[in-house]
Amino acid sequence: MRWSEIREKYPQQWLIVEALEAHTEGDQRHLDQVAVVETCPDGATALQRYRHLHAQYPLREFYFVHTAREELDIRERQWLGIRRDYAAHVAP
Amino acid sequence: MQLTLRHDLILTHVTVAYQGREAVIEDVAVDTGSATTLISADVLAQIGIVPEPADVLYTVRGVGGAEVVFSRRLDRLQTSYQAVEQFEVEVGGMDYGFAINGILGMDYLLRTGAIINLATLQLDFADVEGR
Repeated sequence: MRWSEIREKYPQQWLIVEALEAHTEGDQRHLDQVAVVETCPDGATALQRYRHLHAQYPLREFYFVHTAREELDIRERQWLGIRRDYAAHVAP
Repeated sequence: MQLTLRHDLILTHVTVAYQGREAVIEDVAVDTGSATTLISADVLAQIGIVPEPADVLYTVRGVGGAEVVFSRRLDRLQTSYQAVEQFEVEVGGMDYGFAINGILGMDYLLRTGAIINLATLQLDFADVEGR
């Protein structure tokens, strides 16, 4: 579905969504086709569910979003830092 | 202030203030490889910072993966005596498999004129706020 369709179907709702098709323009990530994975009662729960799903399926592109947003404003940032490279060396 | 060296990372602690509540956050890595500052969602939840409907999301891509975080403007972010008012940070799960609660990135380090002395493990500030 497109975001506008999801907003109509799930008004005023926290959701976990998955990007099925997406592209990047400049620093903006545009989600072209989106699937609703689950509904959440509040933002804190949505973040926890996102973390759980992201850990379980690290290659899938999940987001925690609220349908009050007319446009999904998702921006990309690069990090050269310590992230996984370091963890891979010290993980048990 | 004295930095702690752990697994070849330099760690400090910061104080954050948000809507009248304060928290001291231990084990924050000083990271010149990160453009922005990121703080653990678990720690910030204790002072009432949770995702809000209008928050801007960032997808942060690093070595080996990406993580979605939200952003929030803190009333204050303070390291030692160096406070910055109205400072925007990213907030995320930081589920990387190692125990740090935040990343003090170049946005904060540049703005405060941070001086990192690796010989003595001291973090000082030239205080260039407003320059």
